Amino acid sequence: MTRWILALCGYVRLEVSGVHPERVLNACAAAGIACTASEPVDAYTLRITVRARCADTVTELARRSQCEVKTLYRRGLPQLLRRAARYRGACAGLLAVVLVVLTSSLFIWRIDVTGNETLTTGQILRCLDECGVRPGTYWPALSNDLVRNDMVLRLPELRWLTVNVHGSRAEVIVREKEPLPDITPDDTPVSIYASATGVILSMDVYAGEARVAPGAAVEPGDVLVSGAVTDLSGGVRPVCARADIRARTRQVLTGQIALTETEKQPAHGARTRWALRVGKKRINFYQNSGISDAECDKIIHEYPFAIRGVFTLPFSLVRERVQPYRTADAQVPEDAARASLEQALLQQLRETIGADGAIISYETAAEAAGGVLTVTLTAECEQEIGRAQATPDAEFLQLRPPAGEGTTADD
Amino acid sequence: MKRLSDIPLEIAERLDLPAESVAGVPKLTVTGRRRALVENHCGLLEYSHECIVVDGGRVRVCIRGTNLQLVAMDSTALLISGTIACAEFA
Repeated sequence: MTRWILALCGYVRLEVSGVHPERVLNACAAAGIACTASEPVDAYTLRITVRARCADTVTELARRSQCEVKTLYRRGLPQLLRRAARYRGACAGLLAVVLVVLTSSLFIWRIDVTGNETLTTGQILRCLDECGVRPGTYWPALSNDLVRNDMVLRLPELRWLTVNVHGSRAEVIVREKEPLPDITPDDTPVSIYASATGVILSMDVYAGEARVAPGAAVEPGDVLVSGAVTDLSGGVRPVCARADIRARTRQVLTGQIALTETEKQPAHGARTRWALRVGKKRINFYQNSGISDAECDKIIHEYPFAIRGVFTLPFSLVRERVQPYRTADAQVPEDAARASLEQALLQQLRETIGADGAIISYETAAEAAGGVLTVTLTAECEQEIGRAQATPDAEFLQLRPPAGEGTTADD
Repeated sequence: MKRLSDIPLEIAERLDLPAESVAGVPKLTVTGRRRALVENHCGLLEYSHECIVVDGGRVRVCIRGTNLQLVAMDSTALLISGTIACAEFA
């Protein structure tokens, strides 16, 4: 602590020489002058550190103690400021930079959105802009609750939102509403039909009448569980059929891939252009328009004036590199093309049989003709085969008893 | 027979009072082997890397050791650092 106080107030290192240099220390102590870092050099010399403003007093006390005082050096903030006064321009520039950084940290210059799934980042940013959260907003005046309420009213898909400010970066975390489950009333006439060709392995019927049994072979469109149920009185009652029906199915998928592909090759004439982005404005350091050539890649790098997590300034340097290219046909190895297509077909099969389905076995066959590779995937799977669909009226008519039947004796 | 100057010290001991504040005797606090704080001193008598002699009024305190250094000194206390070997009273 003493060291910091000395550094702030300024201190001077003195070398005291005499017959009894320790008397100077005693005299300083008696005069209320604190001496620090005293160091004996030899029997007649010692070095002491005192506050800069006490240097003259110490010199006088040393003279009375018949000692000589030599100033070794002066250090501390006053000395530093005295030196800095020689470089006024540089110091003013440094001060201006510090002020700009400190001031800019009170404004939002960058907005990051996380947690959105169905809503796009653009939609959320536009809505935030309408709520007053945009680059350049003075964030201490922001109310998280007000922004959240406003955003939830404007975007009904939102369930919750928060704005966390880190320096000049606003992190917007959103949570979207879960979609409501599709609940069909129990008396809605719905039947379950086969969605693929296969052999029924198991059936768990919760509502409706089963029309097939395990071991039966079915084709797409066959009624598995009917939504028209015959009740005890002989009438036909509509129900919403529900059942888990597992079947062993055979799936055949075919895909094609070209054995030649177009490849980009860099051409001469690459150029680099620079621009400065200030907030939403852009200052181009080139004169021609930004219309690119027909076949060229434009690679854009943006260098923001920022230290991540510390501060962000509303300036960024933009580097655009335009690289022309020419295209050339390149041969694709057949093995690589086949492996890539097989993976794509397997992925498609997994999507077809659903998350609860399983591939028991599969085999592939490939044939190359006319520069095109055709791959056929044949797979044996176990999957949920039932597909719910509204029961047609014909099914009710089929089950309805003929006239005269189902009537009581009183009639 | 007790000297007159010992009377304040005697009174402080009888009344269970801190002697350094009543009788004006030096108080030496040694922290490990690296630091020694002498309070109620009357000045320095000798100062070298091996020996620092402090005038305590009625008693002289001699701190011996190696690399001794006077870290800070004011009118009431002085702080010595270094490797302290022993403290002698005379």
